[in-house]
Formats: sequence, C-alpha cells, structure tokens
Amino acid sequence: MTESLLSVDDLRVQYKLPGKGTLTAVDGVNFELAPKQVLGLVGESGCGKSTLARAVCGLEPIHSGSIHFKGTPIRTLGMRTRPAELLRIQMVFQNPYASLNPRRTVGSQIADGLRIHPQRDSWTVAGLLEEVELPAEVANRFPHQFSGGQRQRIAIARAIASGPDLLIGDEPIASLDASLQAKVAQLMRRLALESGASMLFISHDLAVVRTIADEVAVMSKGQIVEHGPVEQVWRSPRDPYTRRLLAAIPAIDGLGTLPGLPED
Amino acid sequence: MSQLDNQYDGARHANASDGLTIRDLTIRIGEKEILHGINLDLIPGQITGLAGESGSGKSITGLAMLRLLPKNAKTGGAITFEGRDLLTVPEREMGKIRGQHVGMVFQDPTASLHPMLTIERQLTDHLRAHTGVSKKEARERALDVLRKVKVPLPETALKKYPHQFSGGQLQRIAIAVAIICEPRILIADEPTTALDVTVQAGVLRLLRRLCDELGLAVLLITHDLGVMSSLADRIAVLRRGEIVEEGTRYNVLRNPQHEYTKALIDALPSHEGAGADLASATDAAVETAAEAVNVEGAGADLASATDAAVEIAAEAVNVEGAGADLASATDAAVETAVKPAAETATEKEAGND
Repeated sequence: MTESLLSVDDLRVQYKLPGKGTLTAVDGVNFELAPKQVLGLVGESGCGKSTLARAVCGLEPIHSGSIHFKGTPIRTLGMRTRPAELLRIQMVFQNPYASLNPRRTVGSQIADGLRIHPQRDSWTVAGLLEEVELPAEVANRFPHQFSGGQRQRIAIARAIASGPDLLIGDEPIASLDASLQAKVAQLMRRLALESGASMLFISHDLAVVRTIADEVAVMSKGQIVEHGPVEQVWRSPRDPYTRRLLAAIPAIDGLGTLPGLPED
Repeated sequence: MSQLDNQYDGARHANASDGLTIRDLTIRIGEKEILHGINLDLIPGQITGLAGESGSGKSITGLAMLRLLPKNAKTGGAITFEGRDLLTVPEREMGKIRGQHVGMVFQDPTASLHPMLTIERQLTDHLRAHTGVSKKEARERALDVLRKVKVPLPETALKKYPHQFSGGQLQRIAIAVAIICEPRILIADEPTTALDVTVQAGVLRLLRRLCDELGLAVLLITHDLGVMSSLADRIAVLRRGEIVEEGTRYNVLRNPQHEYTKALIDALPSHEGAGADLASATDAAVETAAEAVNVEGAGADLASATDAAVEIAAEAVNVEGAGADLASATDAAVETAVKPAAETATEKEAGND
C-alpha cells in the first residue's frame, strides 16, 4: 500500500445561513488519493463537491475532521503567503473567463506558475502552450482574444506550470461545448499524470468522468454515497442516487429515449 | 422526400406550412456573412433540432426568427409564418408576433428573467399586453401555466422573485413565460445547458410533453447531441453557417453521412454499459419474480383446491347439520305425533273409565 498523497478524514464544512441556522455542505467525508491517481467526484449542484475542493485548497474553513496533504494538515489560508508545501496543490476553476486576469498576457500568467516550480527549467511557456495544443506565439495575447475552450487550456497550462503534485479541477469542462469536454478532460489527465501529479476531477457528468478517472466518488447531500473503481460504479451502481444519476445521462441512441425517471 | 410533407420518426405526418418555414436564409453582419442560405421546417407537434458548435450560427438563426438581430445585420431569403415573411413584416406587426405567436426560452434563466420583478409580473405583463385580459384572469392563466410546467406551490411561487428558485425551477418558469400566450412556435436555445444532468432530464421530459400536448412547433438549439437524441424528431447539423446534414434523428445519429457529424458524435463520451449489470440484474430479478409468480400460481391452484375441499367439507358439515336438524325434527315430529296420541290414549283411557 503506497502512502496516500491526500487524505480526507471525516471532514465537515458548515456555512452559516442568513439569520440563524447552519448548512452542513460537507458532512463527514472520507477518502484517500494515492500518487498518480485520478479520482472523479460527481454529484449534482449543491451536493458539496465544490466546497470539498475549496476546503482541500485551504479556501474554506474546516468545521471538524481533517485534511492531510503529504502528511501536512491543511489549515484555512489567511492573508499571509501560502505555505510552500501547499503550492503543490493547483486548481483549475469552472469559468476561465473569471479565473484568468484580463489585464495581463497569457504568457506572463503562465510564467507566474513557472516561477514556483521546484525545478525551474523543466518547462517553458512555449512548451506548455504546445502541450495544451496552442501555438507558442499566442503568449503575447490577452485572455479576451481566446474562445472558452482555449482559455480553459491556458488555465490548465498555468496550473501545470508550477509542477503540482495534486491538480484539482472544479467543473473545468462544464462551460465548454459538448464536443470539447471529453477532449479537455483527457488533456488534463494526460498532463497531470505525465508531470507526476494526482488529479481530483469534479464534474456532474459521469459519462466524461468515466473516460478519465481511475476511481469515482459519488456525492449527494454532503456525503459520499458510493466510491469505487469507475467501471464498477458505471456498470453496477449500488446506491439509488448513483442509479438516478446514471439514468439521467441522455443516451445518444437516436431513438428519442427520454432520460431520467418518469416522475421527474 | 418533399420539403413540405416530411415523414418524422414519431410517425406523424404534418404540414410545414402550418408551422414555420425558413428558406434560403442568409444573415450578414457588417462585412461577415454568418448564415449562408439555410432551409429549415418547423412543424406543429414536432421538435426540430439545430446542432452545431459554438459560433456555428445556431443562436442567430433563432434570433432571426424573432427579428432580434443587431441593427447592422442584413438578411436574405424568407421566414414564412402564417403566410407572412417575418423578415419583412412591419415592426408593429412583429411586436405582436414576438412573444405571442413565437415564444423563446434562453440558456440561462437567471439572465432571462428580471431579478427585481415577481414571477407573477413576469408571467402576466406580456400576456396582458398581448391579449388585454383582466388582471384576475391573467393570474388564473399564470397559475394554470405554472401547474403545466410543474412548479411546486404555484400560488406562493407567483409572489416570489427569481433568486428564490433553483436553476431547474427557474428554467421551468422561463418556459412558462414563453408558453403562457399559447404560441405556435417555441424556440429553445440551449434550454438545459446550464442545468445538472438530473435536473436536465426533468426539463427535457417537460419540453417533450408540452410539444405533444400543445402541438407546439419547437426549434431546439443545442450543441449536446445527447439532448438532441432524447428530444429532436429531426436534426439539422449546422457548421460555419451551413447545414451540412439534415434528416431524421435516427439517421443523423446512427448513420451520419457527413464527416463533421461523425466527428461530433465521436467526440462524445460513450454511454455504453451504464448500469448494464444493474439492467441484467433487474432482468434476472424479473425472471425470478416471474418464476415466483409461477410458483404462486401453482400454490394458487393448490389453495383453490384446498378452498374447494374446505367448501365441500363445509357443505358436508351443513348436510350433517341439516341431518341433525332433520333428526331432531323427526324426533320432535315423532314426539309431537306420539305425545298427543299418547295423551289422547290416556284421555281415552280416562274417558273409558
């Protein structure tokens, strides 16, 4: 048994609701992520999967339980500089329109990532752009000059530039065209594994997750209801929620089969 | 196949002249031609799909049908609806058609609904403007249409604001806004793209039901071929302003002719085998259940046999009882018969004395 890269132990994250009361967004979640593994995290909106990702990055205060990254406990980030070991976690956000700085060239934003890479000369901006299938000369352009799919590739290049050990994608493909989604997801997997990182890939689309993940965890109402090898969960889902999620994926059979269950 | 009388997968015949026809539509914005002459038929009770990547011209086709194009747009060809060309009717007339006869549902309901107006205002404002019904009647119609799109608690929903609803509920409300004037044409531009798969499934079912019940001619614009496969009767594939392939849902998705359509389909993750073991397990369960039913049937025969036996036994008991009664009756009869005789005999004896 290899030592796990990331271990989440009985994690609870709560939000205060307006007025009185609290919302437990993540309610007792346990999982471990081994090095060079891709874990898919699926569930519908509001199930707590983004909160979980933000907590792993230290962006969300933990109510109880713990998160360990390479044996170091993750605490909520303050205004100070992020501890050096936590720089090895990088995140790709859902909306590349908001996650890239509109006033700086994409080249300089990727170079920011390179500056914190442990082995500085392992990548170049041009090399990274090539990896994400963009020509090297686009480095001097600004984010608004790219389409959504291209921007997401730039965001991926920036995340990979710093040589992460853990790459987190929080719905990185949800804002892309259907025909691009699988391609970008596969690009993320390839780059993460080639650079020796693990990936936590969050999506509501089990069909895409299946093509890139080794294991999948299904989340519903703050809890992981099913966790296992992706093919096993895909072929023989045990939890009723997973079954409902699978039934809701429209099949491209050309037969006009309506997805979901009749009472929806 | 004639353009006007199309055979659909739904095995229904309908005439495109009852719906809306687009002939040789070109759109030029500034120097750039965006649509290069497309043909499309919208037929009552049918969902026509327009597929393609972002930037292919899908959305502009939808907007052209409502004449909501940018000011510098130049159009060619014809969009015929109720015998009139929507590209040339006067703006006053177009204002009556827009929203009343042709409804539209947009991708993002949080953007298409006004954040500061109640749901009631958003549902009834244009209904009253178009039809001049009273406030009270408009409210009734609003409740009616909210029930139709299955928004829970329609009475309270009317008083709420958009931010108080989830994305799926909001899209249902946006659909209600689009259909409250009972339009004949509904344009749905990426209606489920902003929604989760589980919520999407419900909205897709709703659109299919409305199309069937109200006889709407629906134009479904989406890049998601999964959504297309679930809903569209016919599919047109748009690429860079040209329709590269058009046909029945089955033919386009199962037997695509154009390279571009094939690439679009190949780019999607496979759905194969989802819950396959489960399905076969269900089959097995069904089989076992069927066997159980057989056994039960066998038991039933047995049971009825037993019932019959019990009945016969009961009858037998009755007979016995009857016999008992009879017996006692006989006894009584004997007694009555014997007693008086005996008495008479005694009296006689006494009389004889």
